[in-house]
Amino acid sequence: MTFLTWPIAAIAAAVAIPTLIILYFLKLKRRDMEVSTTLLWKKAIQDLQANAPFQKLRRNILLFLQLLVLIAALLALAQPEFRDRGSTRQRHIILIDRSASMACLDGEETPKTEDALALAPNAGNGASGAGASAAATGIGAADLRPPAPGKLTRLDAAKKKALAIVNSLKDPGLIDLPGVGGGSGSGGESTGADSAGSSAGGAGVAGIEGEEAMVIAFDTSAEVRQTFTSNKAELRAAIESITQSESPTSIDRAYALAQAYTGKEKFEEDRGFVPIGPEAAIHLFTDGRLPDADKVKAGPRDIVYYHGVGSVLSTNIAIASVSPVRAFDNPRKLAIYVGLQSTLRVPTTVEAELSIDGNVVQTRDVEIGPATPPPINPEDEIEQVKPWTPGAGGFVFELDRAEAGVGTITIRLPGEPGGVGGAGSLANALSTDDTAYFVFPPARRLSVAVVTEGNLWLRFALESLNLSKIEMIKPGEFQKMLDGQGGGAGGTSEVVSLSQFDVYIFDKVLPLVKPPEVQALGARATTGAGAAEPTGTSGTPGTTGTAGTGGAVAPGTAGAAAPVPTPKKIRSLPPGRSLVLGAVPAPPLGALATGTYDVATIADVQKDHPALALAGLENVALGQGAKIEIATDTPVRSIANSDKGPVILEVNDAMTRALVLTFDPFATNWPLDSGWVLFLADALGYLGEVNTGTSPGLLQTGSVLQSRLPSEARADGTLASGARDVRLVLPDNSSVNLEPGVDGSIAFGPIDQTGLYTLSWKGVATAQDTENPPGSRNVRRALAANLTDVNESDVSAAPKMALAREVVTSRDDQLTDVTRKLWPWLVLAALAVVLFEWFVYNKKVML
Amino acid sequence: MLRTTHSSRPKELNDLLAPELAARLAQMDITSRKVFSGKLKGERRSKRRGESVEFADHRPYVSGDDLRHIDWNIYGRLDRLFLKLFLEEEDLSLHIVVDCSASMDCGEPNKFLFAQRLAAALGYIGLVNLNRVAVSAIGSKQEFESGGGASGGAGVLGAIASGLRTGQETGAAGAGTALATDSSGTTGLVSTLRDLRGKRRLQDLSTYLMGLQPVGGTRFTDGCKRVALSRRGKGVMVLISDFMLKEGYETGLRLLKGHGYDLFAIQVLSPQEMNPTLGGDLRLKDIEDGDAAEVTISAALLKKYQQTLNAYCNRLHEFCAQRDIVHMSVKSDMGVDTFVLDYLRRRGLLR
Repeated sequence: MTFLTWPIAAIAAAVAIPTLIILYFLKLKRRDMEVSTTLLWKKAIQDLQANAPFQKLRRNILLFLQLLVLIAALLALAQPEFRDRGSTRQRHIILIDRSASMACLDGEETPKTEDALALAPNAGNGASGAGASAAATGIGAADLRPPAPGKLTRLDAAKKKALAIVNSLKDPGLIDLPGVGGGSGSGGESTGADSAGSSAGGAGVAGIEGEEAMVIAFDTSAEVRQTFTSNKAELRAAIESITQSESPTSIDRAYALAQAYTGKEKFEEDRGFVPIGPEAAIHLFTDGRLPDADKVKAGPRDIVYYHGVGSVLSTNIAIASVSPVRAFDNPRKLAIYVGLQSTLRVPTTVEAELSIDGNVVQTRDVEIGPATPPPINPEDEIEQVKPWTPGAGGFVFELDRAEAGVGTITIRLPGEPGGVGGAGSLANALSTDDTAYFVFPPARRLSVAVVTEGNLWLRFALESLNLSKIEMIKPGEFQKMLDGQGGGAGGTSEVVSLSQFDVYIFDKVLPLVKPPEVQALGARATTGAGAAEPTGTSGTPGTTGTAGTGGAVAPGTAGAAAPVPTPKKIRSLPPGRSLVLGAVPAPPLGALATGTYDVATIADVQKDHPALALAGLENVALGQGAKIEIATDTPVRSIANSDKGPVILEVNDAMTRALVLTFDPFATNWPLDSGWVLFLADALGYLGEVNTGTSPGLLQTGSVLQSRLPSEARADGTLASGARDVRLVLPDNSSVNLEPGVDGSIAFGPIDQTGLYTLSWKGVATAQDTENPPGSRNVRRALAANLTDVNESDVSAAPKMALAREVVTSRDDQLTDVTRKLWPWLVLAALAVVLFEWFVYNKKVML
Repeated sequence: MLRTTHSSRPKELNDLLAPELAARLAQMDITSRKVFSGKLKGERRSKRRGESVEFADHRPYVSGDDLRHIDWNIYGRLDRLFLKLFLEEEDLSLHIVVDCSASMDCGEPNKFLFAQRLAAALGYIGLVNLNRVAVSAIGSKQEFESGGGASGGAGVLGAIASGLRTGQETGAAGAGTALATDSSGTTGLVSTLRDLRGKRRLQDLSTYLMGLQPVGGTRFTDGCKRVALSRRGKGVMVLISDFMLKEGYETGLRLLKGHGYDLFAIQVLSPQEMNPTLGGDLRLKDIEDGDAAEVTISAALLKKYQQTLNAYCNRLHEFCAQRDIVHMSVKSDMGVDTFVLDYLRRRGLLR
């Protein structure tokens, strides 16, 4: 019980109560009345009225009632509050998980430790061997059936609980009384001691100011829905506005965001670090499926409350991954690899269905293994926090299809109605991950030119890749090609790219090119005349380029160029797609060679890079190579490093995309390994945007949709986006207009819906886009987003969460932490007593 | 209980005594539980042998007896002288004492008006039956409308009320009409109109009664003492008061009773006194002495008041019974005719 404005009430009481009693003594309001005699009256009142003051008040029910009224009014003036339980923090941070798993229909449930213990392997059986007991308990645990689906999703329940927290916040007092502490006397004391006044807003004035809260919704990203306020209506609106997302979860950013708003510390002389601002209570509304919960480092003064929603027993089957792959040797052959996972504690057969462009193409039944319990470790204090390991399964759909398309794969439990979005049992609690979307590009074979003085090994390797065309070009010829087309920019609006081939491989050589900014200058200076030829080979007739996707070659006009300052050419990457073997392009589209090494070992490889996934670089021993240094502010990044520095670079510019092996692969053991061919295939596919590995059009919810639309250079040589009227249609058919950057890059998100995203624009199409009808410049590009998150698909709610510094347990009783304002009831009571007094008064008078 | 706000004083005889009532009262007579010896010949049988026509007894003649009373028929038969004795008829003395304190000027209907009317009715009966009627008013201060204020010492009989507006001549019976006021310092004032006899004196009686003003305190004991000392002979005395006396009624009643009068104490109470209709927080002020009592009217207090009133009346009744005084309580809203014709006859004051 706290009194918000008790000093006012105390002052009023000190005045009012004695006044009332004095008024009773004085009894000012007596009517004079003449009677024949007071003889009988005096005798009659001898008992009822004595002369002693307090005897006068004895058994005076009216005074008693009036005192009651007064006391009730005074208590109301003190604004008492009653808080059942919980903290009296002044600031609350409400973090609401809106990730995909929060869509499970078991919001009425709360994660119970006893459920988790029931699921956990029996510690007593631990001695008999983990494997055996796991199997035994697995069967036993299977009897713990998932709960029946309820009406509330976990997000609904979390919002409800959050609203209860908001409702229980202490309101600010009606009367502002500066400098007076709240109900707890110690609070006022501490404020008084703090003469510096630096901890204004501390607990001392909490009684007056009320409590504040902020609302943060998070999935992989975090969003402040409401900054700190004590306005409950705003807080309620902010909570109500939180919608379900289909993204995975990450608490890290949300917590960092919350911490940005909470109190910090400052140094004070003699006192060391003292906190600024009130300590905060962090309310975490989630199902506990936070893979990075251990990153939550609560401040020493903060308290984390875990409000769990969902049932520990809920299980789910999910598509853990989907990957459409065209075969190296036969691009028409499309294989769709589907990974499944099941948190059911029994082996399960699911029905899988493949649809392409809306038509069901194949169905099949797939068996998924049961989830396995975590290993037993009796010393582990938080054993029950550990989830079961989901059972895995997988299958491949194989198709013969050359065209591009979009597809969906749906899985469902037998007997589960409806499939997607169907109201199944909570054996398959989450429907978001029961459907996976994917896009696949048309079957296409690359044409590759190898700029080399001759390399038989390379040729053999390439010939095994089922390319459409392989051509060996001498470096000098290539330089001529390059110089010839560069001068032909003349009257056309587009710079001729080396579009004759999809990818150029530079084998230990690099052409001389103008630095990118110089290229632009030169183009501008020679508009209408022709490019200056620094090498003196001006007038070389331009090579007529094959009309590619926007490439047009104009013949250079020799000799007509005005004399301009000739920039020095550098050995670097030409525009287009390149794979460089054993050479280092000069910056800015490259790196600075600082020396050489004799031998090096691969230290780390970015395995998720499409080109390196199967490369098997770990076993490669490097011979002589160049030590390089990547300059900052260049579009170059290292994707594989040795102990001597970067060895594989990726260059990604508006006009250039290249992979650079800074070492000579033929001086290593790599070409003897099968990984070499796979690397070549993946690298060429990646550079040529032909899907031979993972599909480039696959996204994960929660990530940012990033894509690069084709760029084109304008007549003045500057770059501009080759796409106009860019429009992104979301899975829910809403659309947004996007403005691509100069280099054609677009970004949207983070995306929070699974399904197909369609980018459409007017302009140039690339290999992965469809132009419909061809030549109309109406281009579409499909992207598919899935929740392929193993952790998010495991919907079993966690009763405990291990944060960085503590383990928090879901406690339902925190919800009863309610602040009740008593003053309206006291006012009502005072009114009731007034009425009763009036009744008693009349009764006394009339009867 | 409260002072009567619009009290209308009787202005003429008819206000005091309606003719119809007077006609019915003419049939009645005052009775006394005792037979008193009168002073004059009257219509009442006396203990004394007298000269009425009603035979009483014979007795032997002794010398000196009036020869006119010798029964000559007996002498003729027995040759002895016997004297015939007849009953003597005498008048009765009726003394009406009215409490003229301010407390009587209360209630609705007014208690004093009731007392005036009752006194007039009883006086009329007395006058009609040729009784000697005296009326006394007791109070601390008396002002007579006549302004006569004839002063005289105690027991002065000769002060003829020449100042009486009516200017009635004294009765033929030779008994003078005296208006005496007796003031003895700080003690109560008593005025007495005495020796009224015969129907003709009704006007004097009514004038006197109409001239009484209920003001001031009572000084009951002193007043009773004065009355008791001033009266002569024996007879019936009717005391009309509310008996709300802070000094107590005991001494006064004892004095009045002590001289052999047949005493009737008629206690007049207003309905408001018997059932108060007050409410709220009040400062009750005694109309006579200004004494204040602060009360908060409650059901309990009203109950207590009634208990006190009943106890008070019972005590008065017991006191009277012990001293052979007839005590009667009457509410002022009762009609005088009902009270006189019904109650008083039943209680033996009238027949």
